[in-house]
Amino acid sequence: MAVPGYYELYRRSTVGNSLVDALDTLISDGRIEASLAMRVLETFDKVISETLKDNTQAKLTVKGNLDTYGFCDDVWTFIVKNCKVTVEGNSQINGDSNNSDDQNIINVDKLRIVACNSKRSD
Amino acid sequence: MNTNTSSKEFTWKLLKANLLFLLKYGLMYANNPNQRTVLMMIIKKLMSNLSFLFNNINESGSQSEPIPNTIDTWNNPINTIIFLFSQYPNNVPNWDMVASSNQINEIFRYAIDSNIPYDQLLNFVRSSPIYNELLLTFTEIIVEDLLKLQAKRHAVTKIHKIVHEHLYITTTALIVSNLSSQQMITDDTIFASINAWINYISSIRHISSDGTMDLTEIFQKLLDLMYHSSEHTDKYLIAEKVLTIFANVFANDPLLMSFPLREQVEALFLGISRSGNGDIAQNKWMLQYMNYLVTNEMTSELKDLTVCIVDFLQINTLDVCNKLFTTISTDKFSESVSEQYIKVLLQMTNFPLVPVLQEFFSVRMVDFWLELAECYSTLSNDTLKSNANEISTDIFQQVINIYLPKISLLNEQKILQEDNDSSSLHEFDDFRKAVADLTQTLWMILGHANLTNVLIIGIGSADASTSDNIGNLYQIESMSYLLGVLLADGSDSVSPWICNVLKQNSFTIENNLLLFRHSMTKLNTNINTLDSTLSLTFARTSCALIGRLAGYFTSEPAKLSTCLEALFQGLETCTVTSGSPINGKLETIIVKTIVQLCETCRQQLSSFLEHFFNVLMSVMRPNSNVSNFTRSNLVKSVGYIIQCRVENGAQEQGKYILQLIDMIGSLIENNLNSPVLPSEQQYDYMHCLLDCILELGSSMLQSDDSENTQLLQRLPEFQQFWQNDPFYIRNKIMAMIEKALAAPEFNNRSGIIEVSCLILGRTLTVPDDEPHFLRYSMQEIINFILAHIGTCELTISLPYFVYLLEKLFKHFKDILTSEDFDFLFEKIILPGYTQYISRDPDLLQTTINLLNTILDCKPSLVIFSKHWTTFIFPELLKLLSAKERFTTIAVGKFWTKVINNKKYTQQDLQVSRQQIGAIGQDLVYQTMNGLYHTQRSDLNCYTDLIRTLVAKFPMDCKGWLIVALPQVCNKPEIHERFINKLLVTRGNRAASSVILNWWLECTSLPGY
Repeated sequence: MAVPGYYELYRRSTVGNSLVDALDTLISDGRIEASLAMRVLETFDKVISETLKDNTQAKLTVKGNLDTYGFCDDVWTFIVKNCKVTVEGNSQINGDSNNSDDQNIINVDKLRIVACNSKRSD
Repeated sequence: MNTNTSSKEFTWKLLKANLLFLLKYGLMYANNPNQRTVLMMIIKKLMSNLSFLFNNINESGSQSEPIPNTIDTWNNPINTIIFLFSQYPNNVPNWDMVASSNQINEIFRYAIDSNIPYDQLLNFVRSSPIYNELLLTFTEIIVEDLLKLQAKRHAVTKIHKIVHEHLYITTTALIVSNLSSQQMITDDTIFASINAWINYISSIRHISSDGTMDLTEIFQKLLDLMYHSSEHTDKYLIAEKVLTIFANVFANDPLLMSFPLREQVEALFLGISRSGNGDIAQNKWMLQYMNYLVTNEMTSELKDLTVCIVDFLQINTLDVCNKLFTTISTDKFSESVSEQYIKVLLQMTNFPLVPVLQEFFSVRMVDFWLELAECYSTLSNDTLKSNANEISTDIFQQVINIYLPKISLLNEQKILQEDNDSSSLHEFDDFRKAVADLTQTLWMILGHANLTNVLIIGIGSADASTSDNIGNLYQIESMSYLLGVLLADGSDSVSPWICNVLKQNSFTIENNLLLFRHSMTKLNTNINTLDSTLSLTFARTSCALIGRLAGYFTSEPAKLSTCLEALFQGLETCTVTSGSPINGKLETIIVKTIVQLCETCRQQLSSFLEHFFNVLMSVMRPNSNVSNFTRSNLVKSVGYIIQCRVENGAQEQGKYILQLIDMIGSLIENNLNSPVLPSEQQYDYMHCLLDCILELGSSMLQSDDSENTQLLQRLPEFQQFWQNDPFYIRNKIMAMIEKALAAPEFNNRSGIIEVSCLILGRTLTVPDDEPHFLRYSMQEIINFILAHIGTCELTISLPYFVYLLEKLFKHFKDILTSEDFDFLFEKIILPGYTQYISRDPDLLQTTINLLNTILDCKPSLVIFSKHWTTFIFPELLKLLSAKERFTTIAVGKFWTKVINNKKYTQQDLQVSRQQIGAIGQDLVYQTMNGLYHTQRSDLNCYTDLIRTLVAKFPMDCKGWLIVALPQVCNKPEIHERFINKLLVTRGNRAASSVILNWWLECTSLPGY
């Protein structure tokens, strides 16, 4: 609940990858210990999860053909084919107060959605 | 504190020292309560140290032979503290911890093992509020630290059992005693401690095999405390704190609260008891509390209460759903109670204040209704009550009726008037979207008959223009907004059934247009931020609905013309003055709607083509006040109409296209010769004009949805016409592009080069038999590229030319040969390779992607090239060690495709295997060298390649690896293990983890 274990899936995001690479460099240069790097990544898991929850307003709509779905270890996985992904209301990024006309539509051949339980408490 | 020690003696020393200091600082605090801030900081750190020791001692377990001066278990740190403070209530003896005599050891051992009876615990906490605070803080810190350890996935197993058997019992007694005696609740310590314990118990109850630690007694006390909190006693301060705790429980782990307790909460919150066991009279307290919050405008507290109540309701959604709609349940939940229950929930949703600004019940209840609707939709028909349909329709129609005024822009207006902060406005916008999502879900239950039609009737049953009541407009807006959402199903057609309902409610379109006109009038007349924001929303709703009704207009051309007239008038209004951001947005909304109408109703608009041309003539001029977005989209709209003008033959269609191209051509000419415009503006305008040609080309493509039967009948005529191109339209366009690219101010602008290449390649993705005015031949395209690759700056233009080339290879793969590839490679890639391409990762990626595209469509074009083994292989081998992600991703794909390609013919495969066999050793060395030196995030660039090598060349690969790896780094044992494991995988998915492990071992980095 208040001190949950956070998912590590954002470590594979662009920002997560960059952080991991930077930590690797620091360890290789002997400037930090591996344990500190782990601590940093644990903090990253927490912060990115909370930030995405609290500070994002964009809404993503996916329309397409559901090809495969599965539920394992409290994680849903969907593979959607020929789908249209609509991103709307990304007003914070654009710095525009009322920008719901900004709608980005992305056509994707194959989309993999991994949905984890946000209320997981490890 | 570093407790990571295997020495039990050292742990024992640390424990004694920390306990001693805790005793010392605790007494200091008890004697000087005014120094709380400084002392508590030290005390908390000491407590944290002790909690780590508590875990270490208990987790490390007992030895078979006890070691002197150490301990194996520590059951209850709270008892230890009570013992020490009780033994030394005034000051700490002057112990020499270094010498650590047997006597000291004995005292601490006794403290560790001490067992404090309940009465002694109560006497201790009652003797001093500071002792009480210290115990509560200590127990809180212990469980918080245990959770942190749990989260780090340390091997925490035994400790939970010890906590359950000892610390939990003491803490429950401590908390209950605090909650029973209200004087003790002086600050937040007790609530923080309770929260920490709830979090701890919730977290470990799924992993601990020792049963759940029951919280009923604590929850019951909290409930009683809350019920006795009032405006007069504490201004509901305790109620707020208790509700925060309950909100946490309901949101995260509601089953921590037992069913009988939840029955009590239900009666308290809702004034209804579905089981009959709750005391519904207690709801009076809740009403008083709500009244207090509303009267005192305590919006934030009201929001917290809302969140708590709705989270609580969601615990029972499935149960409520079953009892309301199915025959599954046979308990006491009678029909009348269910009706009453829903009535309360509907009343709560209809909380009589402005949503977001003043109340949040309606906002949060969206989630509840959504969940209920989803539960209902998934029920099996066999279990449904015979009147389930009527019940659900009745409930969900009431929900819609409640939300329609809630999402009204009248409320947005109030928010804009009251709140300067835009966050409330965003929140209201989110609320509208949430209601829209709910409406879409409810449609699955209510269907057209009970939802779509009701909305249409609401909008269009009477002429709103005759009414002076401005409220009508706001009502129409809400309904139009939801109707628009329901009709947005992605297809262009509107069902005949809906069309009939629209026809019967003849004012639907007019009333919707009234919204649009209202916003235009507002924008024309005044213009403060509030009005302009509202006007924009009115226009957005109206345009969205018009666009989504495009399918309906195909059967109602009169309404279509009314709409288009209004839209063009609106466009004129908002482009009279430029610069206003609201006008800019409005222009975009209107133009998008016009495009939508023209695309769907192209046949019906055929007779309006001349009018469109006239409008186009005026907006295309450089001094016209419209945006480039509007220009290119209006050209596209006209293109849609021209595309369906086939009844008079290809000649007529050609003339219309010629007319447009001539107009654009003369504007390009003027722009090139214009000395007046500043260059950036000139560039934007030139880009827009070329983009108009591209948009025209796109609009002339046959869409799958609107198959033109007339065109199909006359297909050969049109094919012949565009093959001959008697009006020389292709030549004219090519001349325009040539002129634009010849101008020094344009030929190095990426936008112009990009759009030129897109025009040339427009039909390369379209079947050959589809007639099109932009169908350039392969030779024309090649000539274009060759002519401009030298004149345009290579670093800017290469990606676009290569993109065009990729499409060319895909489209003409059957007639192209490896000699053609060699010719193009020599002319386009080789001249600038050393000087430009090899130095720029983007250009390298572009070049490698060209090879990858050819390998994907016809590999023989490259594998028989004379540059394949002489230039491409050596260069791309070197690039395997490039420290640039873009390059390594592309080059990794390249080698993977070379080794394993499904498009290979038998002959291709034979040649390719020989080629790889010849360079295999070098390939493996470069790959492993690149892998070794790459960063963790780029490992994937190499794993696929290594897997493919192992799968396709298993025998050779072992030898290659044995030779290559020692050259990469000198770690023979790691290499040997790696080779053995890798070959066992035969290149399957497990190979990825083998490769990762090799990299980790070689680099000595941790596996996170």
